[in-house]
Amino acid sequence: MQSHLKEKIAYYLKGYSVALLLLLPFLVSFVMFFVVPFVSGINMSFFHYNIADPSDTYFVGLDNYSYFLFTPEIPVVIGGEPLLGPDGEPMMVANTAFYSFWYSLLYTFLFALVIVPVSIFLPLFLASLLKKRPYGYRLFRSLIFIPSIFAVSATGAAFVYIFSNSEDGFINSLLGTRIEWLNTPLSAWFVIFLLCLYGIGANFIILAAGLENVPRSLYESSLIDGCNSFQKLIYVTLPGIKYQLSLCFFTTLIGYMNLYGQNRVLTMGGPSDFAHPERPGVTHTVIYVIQDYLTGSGKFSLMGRISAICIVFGLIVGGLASLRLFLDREKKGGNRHANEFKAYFEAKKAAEGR
Amino acid sequence: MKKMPFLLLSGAALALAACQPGGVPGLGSSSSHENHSEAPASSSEESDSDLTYDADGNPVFENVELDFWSISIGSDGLIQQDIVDKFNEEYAGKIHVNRAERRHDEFSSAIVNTVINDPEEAPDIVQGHGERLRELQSQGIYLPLEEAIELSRIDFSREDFYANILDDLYLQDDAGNEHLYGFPLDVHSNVIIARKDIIEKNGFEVPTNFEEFIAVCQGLADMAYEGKYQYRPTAQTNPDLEWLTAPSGTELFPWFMSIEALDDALSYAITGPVQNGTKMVDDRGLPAWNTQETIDYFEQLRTYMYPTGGKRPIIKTAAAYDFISDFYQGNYIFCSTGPWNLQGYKTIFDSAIGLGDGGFAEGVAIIPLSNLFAMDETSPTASSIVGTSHAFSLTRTVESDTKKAACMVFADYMSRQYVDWIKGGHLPMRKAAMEDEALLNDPFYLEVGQYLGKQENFTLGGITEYYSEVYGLEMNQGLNEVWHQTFNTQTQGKSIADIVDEQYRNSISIIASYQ
Repeated sequence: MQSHLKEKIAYYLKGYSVALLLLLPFLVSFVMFFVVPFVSGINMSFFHYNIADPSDTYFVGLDNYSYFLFTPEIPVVIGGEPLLGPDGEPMMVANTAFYSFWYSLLYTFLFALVIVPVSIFLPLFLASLLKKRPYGYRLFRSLIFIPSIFAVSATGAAFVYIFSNSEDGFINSLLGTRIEWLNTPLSAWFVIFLLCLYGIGANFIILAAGLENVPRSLYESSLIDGCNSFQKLIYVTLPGIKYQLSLCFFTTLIGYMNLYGQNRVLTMGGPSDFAHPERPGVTHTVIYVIQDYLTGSGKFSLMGRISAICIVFGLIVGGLASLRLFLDREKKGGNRHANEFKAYFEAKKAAEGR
Repeated sequence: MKKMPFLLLSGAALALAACQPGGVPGLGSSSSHENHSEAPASSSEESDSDLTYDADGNPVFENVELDFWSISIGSDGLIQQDIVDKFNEEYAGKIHVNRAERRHDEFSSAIVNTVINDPEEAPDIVQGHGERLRELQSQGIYLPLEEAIELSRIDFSREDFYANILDDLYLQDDAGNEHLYGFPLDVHSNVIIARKDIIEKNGFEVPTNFEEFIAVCQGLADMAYEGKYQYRPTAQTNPDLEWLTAPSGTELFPWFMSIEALDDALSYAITGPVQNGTKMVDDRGLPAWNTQETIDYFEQLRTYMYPTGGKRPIIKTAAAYDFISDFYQGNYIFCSTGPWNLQGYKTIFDSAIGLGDGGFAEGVAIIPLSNLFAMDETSPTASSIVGTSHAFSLTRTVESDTKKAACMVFADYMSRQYVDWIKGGHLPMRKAAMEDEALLNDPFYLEVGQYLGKQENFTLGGITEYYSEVYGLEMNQGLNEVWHQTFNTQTQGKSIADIVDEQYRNSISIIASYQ
C-alpha cells in the first residue's frame, strides 16, 4: 500500500514537478493571501473571536450568521445582566447589525442598478463616437480616460468643494442656490454617481478596443442587406463586442457592489435616515458597514460577526460574478445548425423540383 | 488524480493557518494574550529585573530605544516633535525616543492590531486620549503604571495633578482593583473666538455667560437688519480698515457652528448639556444624557435658528470647518475653534487686520466655555467644560523593566514641558505649572493661554468603555446626532424630546449590538 502511494507521489512529481516549480511563486502567494484568509474567515465566522484577546474565543455555530441575517431585535445585556426597561421587563432594542446589513445591501444594490448600465453604455457611446475619428479624437480619448487615473480621495475632495452644502460651494454660488447636496439622500447619491462616472475610462478603453475589432466586412454585408444604423448596432456591433460587454458588465458590477471610497469621501455614509434611526446612513454600502464595524466601533470582539457578513456578502457578489460564466458559456449546438441548414436546403431543392 | 491540486492547496492552507500568529480559531489557536497578561514583576529589586541603579539610586539607562505613538498630528505635533528632540538631546546615550504619529480615527484599531498581531512592532508608550482610555484598557492593551513609576523613581504624587481629570485615569482592572493607566499630560477643549472689535463698536461687551451671549447675538442680528450694524472687514478687502455699515435688511448670523466638526460637537453637544446639569453616563457606563435638562437645552438652541415671535435667527451652521474667512470679514462674530489653531489664527489675524502685532489682541477675544451655555449660571455644573485629555500609557508588550522605567522618565519629562506644550493649546495637568513664572510670563500664555479655561473646571464627561456609542462623536449618533437633528431642516417636525429618546435608544441598540 505504502509503495503504491510512493509510486503515485513519484509519478506526480515526475509529471508535474516543472509545472509546480513554475507555479510556485503564484501558488505561495495565492495560498498565503487568498486561501489562508479565506479559510480563516470561514472558520472565524463560526466563533466568537476577540482579536484583542484571542483566549476569549468560543464556538457559536451559526449564531453570527443568524444575528445579522434574521435577528431584528435583541435584549440589552450589560456585564452579563439584562438591562430592564421602565416596565421591569428585559429591554429589547433594534439590532443595528441586522438593519445595517440589509439596508446597506439594498442601497448598494439599487445604486448598482443605476450606475452599472450608465458606466457601460456611456463609454460605449463615447467609444462609438470616437470610432468615427472626428477631428481631435486623440485628445478626446485622453480626456475621457484621464479622470480615472486620479485617486478617488483627490477627486472626491474637489467634489466636496464643488457640491458644498453652503452657498459658498461652487455649484451653489454658480446657481445662487443653497441646496444641501450632500445632506439629502437623493442628491447625495447623485453626487456619488457623478464621482463614479470619473471611473468610466477603463470601460471606455476596453469597449473602444472591442469596437475596433468588429470586422468591417460585417458592416459592409449589413449595408448590402439594407440594415439601418439601429439594426447595425443590434445585429453587428453589440454581438461583435459581446465579450467586452460581458467583461465590463461584471467587473463594473463587482466594483460597485464593493463601493466604499466615494461614499467615504463625500458623505461619510450619511445623511441619517431620520425616520428610522436604527437604519444606517442612507449612503452606507455593505463595505462601509464592514469598515464601520472594523474601525469605528472601538470593539474588537466582533471578528466572528464581521467574518460572517463578509462571507455572506462574498457569496452574493460571487453569485453575481458566476453568472458571467453561465452567460458566456459556449453554446455548443453540435451539428444542429448544419442539419437544420441541410434540411432547409433540401426542402428548397425539392420545392424547386430539382 | 484530479484531487491532487486541491489536496496540495488544502494542506498548504492548513499548514500556514497553523503558523499564523494566534492561529485560526478552533484550529489549534494559541493565545498570545497569556504571554502578555502575566502580572508584572512586583519589585525592581527582583533578581530577574534587567534594570540597575547607580550609587545615588537612580536607574541606569544605556541606549534604551523607545517607540512612541502620538495622536498629536497637527501643529501641536510639530511642537511635540521639538520637545521629543530636546529630550533625545538631553538623554543622549541613555534614552532615545522614536516618535510616530497616528491619526485619531485609526489609533485604537492600529494599536490593537499591532499589539496582538505584530508585537515586535508595537509601540512601548503611546499618547492617547484619557477619555478613551477605558476602551483599550478594558481589552487588556495597556499596563497599569504604578510599577513602572516605582521602577523609574520619578517624583510622582497624585496631589501634583488636577484630581478632576487624574481620577478618571484610574481605572479598575479585571479583579476590581484600581490602577493608573494614563500618565496625565494635559487637558483641552475648544474655545469661542469672538470679533471683539465689532462687538464693542456696536455698543456691546464681550459676553461671559449664556444670557449675555444670546443678548449680544440678538442685538447684532437686529442691528444688521435695521441697517445699523457696523463692521470692519480685514485689510485684504478693506485696506484702510474703515468701519462700514451694513445696509438695512442684512441678515447677520453672529453665531456659527461647524456641524460636522468633532470639536464643535464636544462644545455644543456635550458641554452644553453638562453645564445644564446633565450627567453623561451612569454607573454601568451606559448613556444617561436622556434628561429633561438636555431636552430643554437643545430646544433652546433650536429657537435660535428657527425663532418665533418676530425674533431674528442668530445661528448659522455648515458642515465644513470653514468659518475663518467669514470671521475675518465680520460675517460671523462667534465661532468655536480648537485652541491648537489659535497660534496660526493669531499670526494671520495680526497681519490680516492690518494693525501689525496687536491685531489679534485688538480684534479677537478668546472666551472659554465655562458658563457659556448654562441657562442657570448659579448651578454647580455651570462652569464645567467637557474636554479631552492627553495621557501616556504603556502597552502590554513592554516587558523589560528598563523600558518601563524609561517610558515613565519620558512621560514625566513631557509633562514638565508645559511652557512649550501650551502653544499647542493644551493646558498643563501639573498644578505647579500655574505657579511657574516661566509659564505665567510667557507671551503666548499672556495673549492666548490664560483664556483657555481653568483646569479645575474641566471634566472628561464620564468614563465609559462605550465612549463611541455614548458620545457618538465619530459616528453621527448619540448626543452628536441630537445636535445635528436640532438644526436639520428635515427634522423640524420632530420634537427634541423624540429626537433625544430615539438617539438614546439607538445608542443602547448599538451598545447591545456590539456586545
